[in-house]
This record gives sequence, C-alpha cells and structure tokens, in this order.
Amino acid sequence: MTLKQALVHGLWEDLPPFRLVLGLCPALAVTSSAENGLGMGLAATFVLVFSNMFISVLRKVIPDKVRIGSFIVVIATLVVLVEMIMKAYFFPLSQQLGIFIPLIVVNCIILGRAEAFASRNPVLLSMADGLSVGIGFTISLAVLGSIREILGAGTWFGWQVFGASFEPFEFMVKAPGAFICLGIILGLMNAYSRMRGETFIQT
Amino acid sequence: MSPMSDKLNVASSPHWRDGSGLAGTQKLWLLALLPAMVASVWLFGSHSLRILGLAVAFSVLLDALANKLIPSKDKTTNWSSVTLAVILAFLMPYDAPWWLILVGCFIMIVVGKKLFGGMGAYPVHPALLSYAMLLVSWPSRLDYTASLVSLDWGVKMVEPVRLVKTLGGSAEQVFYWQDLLLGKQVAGIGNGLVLYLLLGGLLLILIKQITWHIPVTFIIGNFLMATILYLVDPGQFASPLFYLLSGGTVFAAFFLATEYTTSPVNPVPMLIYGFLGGALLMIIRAFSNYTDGVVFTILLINLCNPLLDRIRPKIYGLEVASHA
Repeated sequence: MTLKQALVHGLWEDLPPFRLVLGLCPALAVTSSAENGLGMGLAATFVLVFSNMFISVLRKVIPDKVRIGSFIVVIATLVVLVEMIMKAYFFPLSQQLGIFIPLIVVNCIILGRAEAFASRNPVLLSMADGLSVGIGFTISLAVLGSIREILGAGTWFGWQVFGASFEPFEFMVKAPGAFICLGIILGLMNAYSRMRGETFIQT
Repeated sequence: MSPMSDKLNVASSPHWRDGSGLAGTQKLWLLALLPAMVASVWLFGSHSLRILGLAVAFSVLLDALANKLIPSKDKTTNWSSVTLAVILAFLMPYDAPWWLILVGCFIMIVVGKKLFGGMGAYPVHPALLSYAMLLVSWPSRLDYTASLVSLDWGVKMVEPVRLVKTLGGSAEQVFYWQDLLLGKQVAGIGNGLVLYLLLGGLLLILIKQITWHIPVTFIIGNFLMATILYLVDPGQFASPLFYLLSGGTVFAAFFLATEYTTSPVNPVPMLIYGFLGGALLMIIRAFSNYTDGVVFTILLINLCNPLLDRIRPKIYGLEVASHA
C-alpha cells in the first residue's frame, strides 16, 4: 500500500463504521446529536493516529504472544490522555459522552487497525492509515448524528433548522432510530457502489 | 408483461390455493373491513373519510414510487398497500394531521414493507411497526382520549381500558356493554368498532381467507388471562367480557394477528400463536404504562412467529427411516 492509498482508503473504500462494520457501539450510542458524533469521532481519531504510530514503532519489540495486551496498554494510555484533556477543556462534551470516552479503549476499529495494519507497516504509513480511518469515522459519526438530530430534535449543532411549528420525530434520537439510520445509510452506500461496479461491497 | 404478473408465484408448500392471487385476496380483506369503514364514516363523518383517503393515497403513491425506483415482485397492483393503509388508518385518532399520516405511510410502506422485500418477506406487521414508531415519537398526537375530549356521544369520553387502569375494576360500571359493542367508545377511527369488525372477521373466516385458529384462540387466551386476573384481584381488574369489548381486542384477533406474512402457517403453531397473543395483550393492559397494548402485543408475537413455525406436521415415512 502506498502512502496515497493509505491516506484515502478510510474515506470511502474502508469507511468506518459503514464499510468496516466495526465500532458500532459508539456509532449507535453517541450519535444522538451532530456535536456528540463529531466529538466522539475526533477523540477516536486522535487515539487512532497515535496508537498506530506507537505500535508501528514498537512492532519489532512487541512479542507476538502478548501483542493484544501490549496494544491495549498503548491504546489505554492514549485514551486516558484524551479523557483528561476533554475534562479539562471540553467539560460539557465530556459529560455528554460519559462512559463512551473510556470505552474507546475497546473500540474494535482502533484494535483492528493496530492488529491488521500498524503491526506490520512502517511508521509514516501507519499514521496515514490511522488519520484516514479516523477522519472517515469522524465524518460518518457527524453525518449520522446530523441526520438523527435534524429529524429527531429539529436542530443542527444546536441551531434551530425548522420553524416553531415543527414537531420533532423523537424516534430518531432514541436507540432504535440509530439502527434504522445506520442500516439505511449502509444500504444506500452499497446500492451506489454496486451501480459504479465497485468490488468491495459489504454483504 | 403478462396479466398474471401481479400474482406472487411461490413454488414450495404449504400454501392454501384457490387461484385468486394476491390482489383477489387483498380485495376480499377490504370487503371484510368495509362494515367497519362504513360505521367509521357514519360515526366520525368527514374526519374518517379524510384519514382513510389520505392513508390510501399516500400508501399507494409511495408503493408505486418505491417500485419505480427499485422494481420488485411486490407490485403495486397487488392491493396490499391499500389494505395496510386502511388498517393503519383505523388505528389513527380522528384529528390526526396530514403529516402524521404521511410519515406513518412512509414508515409502513418504505421501511416496514419494501426494505424487507415486500409482501411475504417482512418480519413484523408494517402497519403496526409504523404505528409503534409514531406512538413513541408523538405520544400526545395519538392520544385517543385527548382527541375526542370535545365530543359527546352520551358515554364516558375516556378510553375504557385507561379508566379501569386508573380507577380500578369498578370503573367498568360506567360503560354499557351495548355501547362498547356498537363502537360508542373512545378509540381510533376504526379499531373500537367491535360489532362491525366482528362481522368482517366472521366474513373473512366464511370466505376462507383466514382459518378460525388464530382469532378463536386469541379471544380464549385473552378471556382466560382476564378471568385469572379478575379472580385474583376483582378490585383492580374489570370482568373478562369488558376487556374483550374495549379497545382493539377484536380488531387484533381477526385482522392484525391473522396477517398472512407474519403469522404461522400450520394449525398447531397457529393455536399457540393466538393464545399467546391474547394472554400477552391482557398482561400488557394490566401491568404496563401503555393504555391499549394491541400494537406491542402483535409486534411481540410476530417476532415469535419464526420460532413457532418450526413446529411442523410429521412427515410420513420419515420416522421409519430414522428408526431402521
């Protein structure tokens, strides 16, 4: 994989969570508003880039038998860092996201990229991969959060979108709304890919 | 395209065949719903006509549009979207705004029916899926009691089940069973018209569109569970007959639980399915926050359907081979 490929593959070809179908727990739980989705995505991106970097640097030193444990130690260190920064500078957002920030430790995307990519590729390539998958994840969560917030609360990043007579479709900000939204977006993406004759369709 | 194309031809058994095709079946269902439709128009006048008309128009349009975008075997000409629209309309309060009906029809046709592959493929009743989503989103818009508060039919203008739930079993005395039977009770525009729905349901059995198994066991299950609860605590619960005549029990037994796609195909599972539904309905009415548990009852037993369908008739000759 070239650097250019590593930089773009997370934006469409391996776009999480729609293509990879990983990291569904935060994707479903925190996307009740666009702001939460964006915040969660950025936090995950930060962890992803640096965990990929450290694991790639250490890939020759980490023994194969305990690699998962070692990855978790690296990721957990970074997540604690993110959690403290969020508590210090973005307190309302950290209150909103709650338990899902510490839970980034067990996010499948981060562990998946560490195992599948960073542990067998050089540093710069791994960081590019982390950045692209992270940005893809951020965009996806922000889009999912926007759709749910606009329909379910009538606002976008807190701004009133519709007039006062709009009665929000509350179902969308509840848990089942996330499943339906995710499924429909996944279906539309597959339909579009099939139309263009792309070969990496998730079924 | 051949004139036969609107018949859904599926090869494997078990299916009941009478050569009528899907459209013929759906038209007979509409015929069975007709008495309640007429009674509804007589009771609510133009409001009922408006809701029925809008629901049917939106559903058929959305169905045609969905078929245009993604052609499927589930053709608009099979009339299934009309039947579903009438069932959804029956559950609406009489002052439902047009956008509520539009959203309801969109969820019912596009999400509930088309996304799963159309008639014959959906796991839960689309009309009830749609109604449940509307109920979760706009509870105040779908409050029957609030919608009818300005009318006066000479009866207590509160949903019968709700009054009993809040005031205890003795509250059933303010309702006369004749009123309940004739549909003079607070409900949606069609689901409380007990007598007319009963007539339609019996017609469906007579013209062999449904079998007796599900409706009868549904009512028995409901009656038995209500009797047990009444015997345990007569202060809290009303008599079994009251629960049978109030709200959508009869509508659920004859028209909702018997929906072809989402109900079992063999007699034994049908009996269990109906009984489960009736008992569950009574439990939801007795112990939950929702007033009329019909919608969630049917959705729950729909989800049990694949499991019940595993109870199959014995295949003759097979046990000889396995014992040999």
